Amino acid sequence: MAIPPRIALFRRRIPQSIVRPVIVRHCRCFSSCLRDAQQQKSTSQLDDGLSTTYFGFEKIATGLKEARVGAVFSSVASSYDTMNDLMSLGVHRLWKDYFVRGLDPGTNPLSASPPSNALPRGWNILDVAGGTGDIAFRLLDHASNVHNDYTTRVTVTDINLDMLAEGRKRALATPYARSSRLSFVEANAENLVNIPDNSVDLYTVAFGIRNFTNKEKALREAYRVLRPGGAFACLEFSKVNNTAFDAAYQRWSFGAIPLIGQLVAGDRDSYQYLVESIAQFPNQTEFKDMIMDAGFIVPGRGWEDLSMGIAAIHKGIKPVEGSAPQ
Amino acid sequence: MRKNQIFPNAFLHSSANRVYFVFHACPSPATPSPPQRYPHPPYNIPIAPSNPPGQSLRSNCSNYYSNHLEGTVLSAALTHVPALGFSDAALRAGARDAGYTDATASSMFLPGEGAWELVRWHLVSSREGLGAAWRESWEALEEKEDMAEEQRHKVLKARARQLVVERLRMNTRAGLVARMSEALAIMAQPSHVPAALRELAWLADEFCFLAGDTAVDGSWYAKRGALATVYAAAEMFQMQDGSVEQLDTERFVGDRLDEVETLRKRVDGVGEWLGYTGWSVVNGLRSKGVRI
Ligand SMILES: C[S@@+](CC[C@H](N)C(=O)[O-])C[C@H]1O[C@@H](n2cnc3c(N)ncnc32)[C@H](O)[C@@H]1O
Repeated sequence: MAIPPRIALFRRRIPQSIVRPVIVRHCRCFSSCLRDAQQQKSTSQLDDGLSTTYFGFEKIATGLKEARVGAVFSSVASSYDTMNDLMSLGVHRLWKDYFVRGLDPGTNPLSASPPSNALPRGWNILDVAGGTGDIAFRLLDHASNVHNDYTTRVTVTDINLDMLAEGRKRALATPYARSSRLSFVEANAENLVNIPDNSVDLYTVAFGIRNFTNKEKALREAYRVLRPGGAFACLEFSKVNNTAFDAAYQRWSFGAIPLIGQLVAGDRDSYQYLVESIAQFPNQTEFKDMIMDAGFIVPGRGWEDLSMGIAAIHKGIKPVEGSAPQ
Repeated sequence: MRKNQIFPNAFLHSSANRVYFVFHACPSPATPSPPQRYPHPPYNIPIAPSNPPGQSLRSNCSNYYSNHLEGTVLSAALTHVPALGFSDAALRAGARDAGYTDATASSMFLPGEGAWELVRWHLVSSREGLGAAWRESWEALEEKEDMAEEQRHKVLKARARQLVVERLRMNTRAGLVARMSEALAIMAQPSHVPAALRELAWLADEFCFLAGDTAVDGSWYAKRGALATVYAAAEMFQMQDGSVEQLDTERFVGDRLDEVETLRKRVDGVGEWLGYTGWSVVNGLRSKGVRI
């Protein structure tokens, strides 16, 4: 094979000339940002008993992951669609459509609440790591077009201002740019400071959770902000369940994607990270167990594979009072 | 031989190999297995995977819910089916009644499966509702060894009739008769047919079991098949029965069971008999616009 599987080597060869603190949010020059992050890594005291985590396949100090993930997404924000197309073999739009259709967001104001006293008020949806708004626009379109529901609203949160900026820009091409139904908020999924307890009907996270430093903590935050009966829904790359196809997919992702990333976006390292982070993410069953551990009821089998497991949809429901989870 | 009242063409088409199509969808063990006490697992308990093949009709046949959630919401939702149909709307209304939300309802099942889960819940909960009380209130037939064979058949038939009628009344009491054609259309979707037929077979098991039929020979299969088809036909009759208290439906059940009795004596072999009843079900479904 012409392409060495561990392109991370390449990363370490970047000249380590500039040493300054990483302020990812205001970073204009993306590649130097990434370099900063690497610099930080090499100078961090990994052996001093600090907790560590994975950045792709690399073990790094926990405190650094956020900054390095930030650098990756700052770097790919504008070539974002290309990245997704590469990683999903071009079908991520279909997955996203399917994800949203399955959630069926929105409530027709006429059909709403025959038995209960609640006024129709639409759903309060939180799209976490929603970056470019991809999921948010679909959720709002579905509520409006399928349920004639013009009150359902989506709050997009992301840790990365560059991604949020990209989302705001794209929102201009939708009917929601100036509507109160859509808002963009900077927040870390592990600490959703401005989101009150028990306030959200539907929490979505698409292709985001594998980037979080502490996934358990993010799941607990999801549990906190959801109201009882609210649903957690996650679309994420997962484990291919067919051996032959898996071999091919691994070859594609490790062999080709970083190279293509370099060619189309001039950024091999970020793409290398994305590939590794997918391989590093827990498999379907493990992730389902994590969702249950956070307190959710997991209906049915707990997940649904898409395209033979290249991606999977996991769902959980926050129990109502008096009904213990499982 | 009396002519079938709602499916006059049934005789013309009877053919043993077509039955294969109707009944084969529920895999049956090669050797007859005896009726068992409480043969059906409670709906919310997953079936132990350790059943050796041929020991239970239900081994690895089902995927039951492992949560309290589904049952709670589905039960509440069934009360909305008379008004809203077997639909996502009913499921959402049920979720709200149970203290959950619309988001619960739409995330609970695989996309598009909500209506089917409602149908299945009705089938399962009604079957389980038939209950063991019947059997206890009837004297066990096996204890009366002196009973003549013909007498025994008579008693079994009377009990079967009572059970079938009771099950049909459950549809009426739940206000679902007007919605049964909807349910049928959902059951006839290719991905649901196997599970729907399995439910029908289990219902027939339940009839046999509750009636106290403990015969272990091949006739047991014939009886299950007979009861399954009689029930399915009766349910279709019920959908269009405008008579007072649906007395026509009850008469229909009696007639079909008599027919079974006659055929049992006349027709040689289970296959041929099933050929007749199997086709009446298929034709009935077709007459209701179901594409099979
Ligand atoms: C691959 S993008 C997914 C964007 C969008 N949901 C989609 O499906 O197109 C991953 C996003 O996760 C964000 N992210 C990473 N870590 C995060 C964290 N701890 N909290 C919130 N967002 C985070 C990144 O900034 C990035 O925008």
